[in-house]
Amino acid sequence: MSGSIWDRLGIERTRETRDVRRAYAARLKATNPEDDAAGFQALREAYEAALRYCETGFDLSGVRFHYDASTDEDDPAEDGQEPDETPAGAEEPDRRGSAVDRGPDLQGDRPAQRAAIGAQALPADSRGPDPQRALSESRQRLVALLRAEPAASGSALALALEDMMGQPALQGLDARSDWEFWLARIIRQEAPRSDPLIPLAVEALNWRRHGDGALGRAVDAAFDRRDALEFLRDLRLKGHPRHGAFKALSGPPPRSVLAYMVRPSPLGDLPALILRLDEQFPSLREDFPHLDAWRAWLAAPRLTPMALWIALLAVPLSALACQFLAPSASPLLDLVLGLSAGLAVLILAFAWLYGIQTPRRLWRESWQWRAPAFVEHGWAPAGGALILLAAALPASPWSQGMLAVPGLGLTAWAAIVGEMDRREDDTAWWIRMLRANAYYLIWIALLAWRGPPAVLVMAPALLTGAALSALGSQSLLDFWCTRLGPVARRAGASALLTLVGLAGALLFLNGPTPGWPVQGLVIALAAIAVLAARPLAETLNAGPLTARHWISWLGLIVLGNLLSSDTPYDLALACVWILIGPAIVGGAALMDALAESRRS
Amino acid sequence: MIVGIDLGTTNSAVGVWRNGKAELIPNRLGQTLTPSAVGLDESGALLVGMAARERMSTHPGRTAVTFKRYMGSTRATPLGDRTYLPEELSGLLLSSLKADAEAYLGEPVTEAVITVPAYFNDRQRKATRRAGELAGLKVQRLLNEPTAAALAYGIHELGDESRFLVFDLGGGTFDVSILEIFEGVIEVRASAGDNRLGGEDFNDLLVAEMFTRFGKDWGESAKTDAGLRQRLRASAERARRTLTDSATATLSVIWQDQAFEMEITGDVFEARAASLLARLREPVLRSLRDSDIRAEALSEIVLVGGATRMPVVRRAVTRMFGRFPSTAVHPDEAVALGAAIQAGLKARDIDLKEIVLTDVCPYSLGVESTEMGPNGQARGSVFSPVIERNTVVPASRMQSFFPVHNGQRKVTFNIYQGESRNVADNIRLGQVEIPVPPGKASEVEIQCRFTYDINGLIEVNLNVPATGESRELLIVDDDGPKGQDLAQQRARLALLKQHPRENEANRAALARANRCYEDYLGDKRDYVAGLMSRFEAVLETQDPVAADHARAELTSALDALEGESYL
Repeated sequence: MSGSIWDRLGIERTRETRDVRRAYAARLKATNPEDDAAGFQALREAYEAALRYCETGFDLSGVRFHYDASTDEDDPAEDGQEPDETPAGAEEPDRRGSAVDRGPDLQGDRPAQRAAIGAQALPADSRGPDPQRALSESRQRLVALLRAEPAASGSALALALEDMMGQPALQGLDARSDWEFWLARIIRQEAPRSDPLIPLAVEALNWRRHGDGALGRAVDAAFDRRDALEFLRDLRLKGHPRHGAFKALSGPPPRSVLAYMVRPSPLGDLPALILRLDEQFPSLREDFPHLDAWRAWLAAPRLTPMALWIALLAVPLSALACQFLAPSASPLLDLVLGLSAGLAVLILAFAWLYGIQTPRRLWRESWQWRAPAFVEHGWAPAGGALILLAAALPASPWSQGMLAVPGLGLTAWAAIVGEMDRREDDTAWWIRMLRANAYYLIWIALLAWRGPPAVLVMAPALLTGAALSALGSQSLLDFWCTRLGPVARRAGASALLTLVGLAGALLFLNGPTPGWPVQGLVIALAAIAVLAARPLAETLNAGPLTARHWISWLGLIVLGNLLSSDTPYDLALACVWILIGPAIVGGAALMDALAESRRS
Repeated sequence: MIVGIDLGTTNSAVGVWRNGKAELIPNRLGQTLTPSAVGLDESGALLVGMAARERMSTHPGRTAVTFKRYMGSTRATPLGDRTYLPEELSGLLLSSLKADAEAYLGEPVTEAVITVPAYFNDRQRKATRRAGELAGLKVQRLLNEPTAAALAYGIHELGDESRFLVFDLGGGTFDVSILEIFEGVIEVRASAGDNRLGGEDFNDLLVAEMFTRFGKDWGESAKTDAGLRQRLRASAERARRTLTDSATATLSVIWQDQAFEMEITGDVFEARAASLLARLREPVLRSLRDSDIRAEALSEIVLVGGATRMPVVRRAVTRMFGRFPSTAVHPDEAVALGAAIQAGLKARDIDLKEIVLTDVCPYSLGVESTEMGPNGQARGSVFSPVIERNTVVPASRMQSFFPVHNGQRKVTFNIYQGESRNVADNIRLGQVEIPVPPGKASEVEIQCRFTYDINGLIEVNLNVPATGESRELLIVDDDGPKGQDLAQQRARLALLKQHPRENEANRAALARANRCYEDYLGDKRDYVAGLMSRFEAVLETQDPVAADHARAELTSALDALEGESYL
């Protein structure tokens, strides 16, 4: 490709800017931007590329960078940064002074024009001592203040800055932008000492975010630091939701999680806080010396204080419960039972830790990228198949067992690979999921209460369904949304709701004790509806609407159960059932259309 | 014949490239500058230029000035019993300028290069183009004003390689451009500016000063009196011009038959203007930064625009750059001359065939996007520039975007112009929608191509490689006049009565006398009344030669009374 640049310009490869410009000018006469836009753009591209080549080649003679070496050299702060040349610190003012005295010598190779401007052409302001020198002295004073021990007060810094801004040498445009750049860099280098300067500089110099070039980046860094400081200040306030995590992060990580059993645990907030620091406020890393230790601590799998507490409380509570249920048994037996309950909780917690959390981390970190689709999403159809199987199986303890084992496996699978749409913290998510699935669980309870043993057979499958719906709804939603068009999605939602309605009708028409095939069919359909609840809600474009719908539906079931006789009223009710699904979908579509028309 | 037109906020001018040089075309009054004013007289006939400007303070409800400031907006200016859009007023002005050019050149003028402030956005440019079309002119090019001024300056500097900065402070806009000349190429390196800064703001400053001094005496009704405000502005303008040469100036105004006078010194004015002068700095710095040229490397600072005559502005520029600016070009005429040169370039004039001008897009263009944080949190309404500002035009740039959500069916692109990262602070130009195949968001690529043509008009092209689907958008105004097509607008304007051209000068003189009558009290007023009745008597004889004489007399009498009439 690089050959074509030179072809377009019609010259040999060169690093001479002059030749490139001449070639460009010559070609431009033939490719006038007025009438050959495409040709001009190609030429311009080649020209710009060639100029870049000229600049970035090894031969840097004749190339000027915006902030060239001489600017940096007469900058005392810059000298201070090189440890072997001039050690930092205000204790060495002499050395510092000499660095500036070198200044004029180094400036000797600058165009003579500039000196002339500084000395003569400046009206009025140039009288008195050399303004350049006054400015550089003023710069030194600020740097010395920043590095002074003990730290200088904010007002002293403000005074120094004000003094510097009054310098006549800053009237020149170049001097001014060089100086702004210097200031922005000093602010970044000398953090946190320079922090009080940021608001002053932003206001006095009218700094804006997202400027361009080197100055823009330096200014942005100052803004970032300011935001970071604000965030830190908020964190220090007691009321801040992450205040606990902030306090923990300020100290070293505890030896064990037991330390958090007696005070509120900030551990849940910690990863989020660390992530925030990493991504948004990297400049704050210095303010948290124990950050890396915490990172390592959090990376290791660990039980939460909550699990430990539950295990601990399980012992006396279950012992008490045993005592209450069977007062005649010996206290020793109660104790053994209590201990085993605690042990069970611990085993469960460990199973969650090593069976779900660790594999999930491994999955995220190293497997997910190369796993085939059926590994990632296969649990959803498998869950559906399990529910259908449960509907077909006769009721017996054997079938229960047969369903429970794969159900657990499926739940684990979904928990590991399913994308949970968790944005908030764990507890709130669990509450939301329980609430979303509550109608479903209540329905199971209701059916069980109505008596058919089939429900009990179904229980493992139904629970699996609820778990899958909770854990994998995001991934189901993606599947649903990516594979189906809007019309198909609407039609699908409509059909599903109709089927569920039909199932409800069947239930009613079969009286208080339907046979198991009917029961199974009803439950299978309901389970599918449950799995599809999230996509349905998304399709209908109204979460609350579907929630209300489920609730009213439940109400109908209860009502129907209470009335439960073979009357024409039941029949009418069944018809209503069947119509509910399409009505909801139609209503949602109507609301969509209305909203659309109002928007346009 | 292509003419170059400088359509200014306070004054306009027409130039033409003839016989190897650019020249300005005088208007019907023999002046090269025509005030950008449009008005209706009592009979509902149209007045343009000086005749209208002089009536501004006496008939504020029937006269419109500084309408360029609202170009591209739907702000309706009432004129008599009708209202007009800024572009229609500009159209009226342009047709008057066109008529002048035709009379001077002796041939029909159908094409024009019209200058616009570099910082005019797409909407304002479109409005300017429409104004040209309303006047029956095919707008061959919209040329940035500082570029035009630079052309006028640079055409004489072609020999050597040089870089210079054009500092254009006009009546209502401020533009800075940095140009480089080499090998016959005039290249604009960067443009920056402030759309709302100009000589008028300095006038407002003096008007505000008058209000703080006399506001109490004048009472509440003065605040909303358009006539008073106009008289104050005129007085401020006069004072500002006086300050160019002398240390003090007097602002005087008549309110409810009482004369109010205030003396202002140059120092006080400079102190009051400090905040306006400070605003000059930012665009200069930005253009230097964008062009990567240091101020010391500039060979010249060229001042353009009437407001740069003010000593306070000159001093500010001198301080800023540490040297004295060049006044090689006439501040009022440079832009029109540059437009004339561009017209010559456009017409491929033989004298100009070795010169090529390249310009830049003065602002960034891009789309609204959503930024996905690594944490999954989305930050919406972020501006993603596709064409960065100061890209050489014509330019075409492409960038790829992806849907936000998995399975998204369509993506809406909102097109913005501006520099802020937050789209709300930028100017929205339009929107395009494109259907995308549903899939994982990271796999659905949408290629977005922006094309910015040499006139500063924008085209957006979207393409989804996966489906071959593509959409195009030639930016159409959202807020522009809807359902009012050009023909309709033109018909509306054609209804206005026109005065015969030759009477115009007399009307202007009479309008000026009328204004003077209102500006003065006592003996002076009587004197003006006498002058007027004598002039009117001569006009009634319908003798053109006598009328010319009488007009010259009247003009010199008024000049003696209030100082030279200014443009």
